[in-house]
Amino acid sequence: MTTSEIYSAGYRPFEGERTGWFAAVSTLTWSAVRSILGLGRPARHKVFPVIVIALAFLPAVVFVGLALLFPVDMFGSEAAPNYWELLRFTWLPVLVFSAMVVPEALVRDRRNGLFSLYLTTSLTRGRYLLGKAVASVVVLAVVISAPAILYLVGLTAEGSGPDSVLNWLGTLGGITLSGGAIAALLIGVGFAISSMTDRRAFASVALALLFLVAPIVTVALTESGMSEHWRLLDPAGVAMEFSPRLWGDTSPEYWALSNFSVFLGQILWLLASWAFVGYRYRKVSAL
Amino acid sequence: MTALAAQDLTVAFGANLALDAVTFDVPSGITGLVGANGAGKTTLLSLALGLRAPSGGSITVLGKNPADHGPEVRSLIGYSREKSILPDDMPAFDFVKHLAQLRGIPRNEARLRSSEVLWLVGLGEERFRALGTMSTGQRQRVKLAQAVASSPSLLLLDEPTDGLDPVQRDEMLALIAKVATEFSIDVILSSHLLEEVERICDHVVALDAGSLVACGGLDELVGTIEGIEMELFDRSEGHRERDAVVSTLRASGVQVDVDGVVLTLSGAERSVLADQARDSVAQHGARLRRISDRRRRLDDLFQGGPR
Repeated sequence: MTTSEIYSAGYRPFEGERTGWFAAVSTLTWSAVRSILGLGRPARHKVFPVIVIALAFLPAVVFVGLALLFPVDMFGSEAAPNYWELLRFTWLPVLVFSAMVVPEALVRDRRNGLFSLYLTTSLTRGRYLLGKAVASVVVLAVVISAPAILYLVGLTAEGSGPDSVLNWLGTLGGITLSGGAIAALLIGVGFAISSMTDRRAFASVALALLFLVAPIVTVALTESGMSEHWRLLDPAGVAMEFSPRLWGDTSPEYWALSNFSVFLGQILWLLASWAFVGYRYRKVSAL
Repeated sequence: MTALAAQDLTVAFGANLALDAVTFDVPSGITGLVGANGAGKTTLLSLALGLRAPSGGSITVLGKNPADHGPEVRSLIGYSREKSILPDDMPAFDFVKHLAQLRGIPRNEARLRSSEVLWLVGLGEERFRALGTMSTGQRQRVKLAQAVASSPSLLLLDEPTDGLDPVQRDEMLALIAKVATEFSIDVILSSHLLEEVERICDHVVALDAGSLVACGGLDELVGTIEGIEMELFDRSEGHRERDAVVSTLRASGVQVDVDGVVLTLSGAERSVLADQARDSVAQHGARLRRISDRRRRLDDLFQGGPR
């Protein structure tokens, strides 16, 4: 008696239930996360995100190491920054990550034709932007928050962390909220600029210039005697100021501005940038 | 079931009409959407996908209005775009799986189906190669695979043989025919190459500058029609032999249209016309290069030829 086995069933119609738009957005989000981090792509695409993320973690690792290996008062308060002060040490890698990696999430799809194909699925322009925004904000929020969370865990292990579980969770929540809020603003600005060009390099350079030039210009304006509110034109500075304000503090640059002004500035940047992205994408041709 | 129905469908870009009140039905099977660049083919496809709303009239796809049920309709459509721009560093398998998932196929099923369709289009061994390393022919197959992987009810293929050599084109057309006939997927094939539409399509929708030129079964629009066509091998000065043949035929009551050395004869049974043609050629010592039934081709729809 002979036996046989089917090795390939060949093409067959799909008769199961189709997943809905939420699953499509989730698929897109996960794909965008992988794309931003260079996962599933040639090694050269992973190098930059890995370096930047490593640099973002470096200050937290150093401070945790100092806290664990040496007596508490040996280096003074300089070696034990606040959670929001830690962000100032990681700020450069965060901005570099925003400028160099985030445009990849939007520009690449328009250049390689995927955006047009996406619109022939259950994705709409709005759902597409939602998926990309969630992916980018989450990745950047992790890059911003994870070093501070590591620092929190390190201080807790060393015995100088928050003094109760409730405070510990509150601190964790504050770090996470800071990361999310800062990331949302930076990604909004990044997407707004990325929506204006099909060249990733152009978007990256424009973002880098904005992050570099805006603080110089706003400082020059305020130091020439103009209102301190001009500082609100620096999107990265305004974004970073969210964190000290959340901890009831102010950074040296923004001490003259009230919480209301700072939060209003953040909300306006957020709304303007995301509205601009939506406007630009309404005009992008589908086919 | 009607795959697509348009009623007074109009799309205006300012003062320009991309589609001018066209009305037609696309039944099940393979339908060729033909017309020159700018005829309105891509505009029609974007309406079918619900990516654009009509300025006037209505369109239904698979019984639904795509302008109102865009995502729902699109999940039942496989679309392959004309441009061959694809993500170069993505393997074909990942690309097909990703789009299948976005069209509503669960992850594990999408993985299985991606392999199956890539084998189906002849890229089974190549499925993990990056798209950027593939030839134009292979990329066209990948585009077809991603459109088929989600088990669509309707395939919209925009110039699927663009950039292919004759052998690759034959293979692609055979694949499309196979997908339509064996898997019962309705296909709308948008093309400016009338010859390939004549080869595999059951129905034709012909557009010209936004207007409907013709619509119907291929059998109705092309094929043999009344009369015969003959071509002379005439080396005589001033086409003396041809003129003599024409005079004789007309004298015997045959209607003759002359286009160079090609004569179109009508006004009698084909066999009678063929006998008269043979006799008149022999009578004047002319030489016959070709004699055949008179055929109507898709080109004639656009050139005001025989209807």
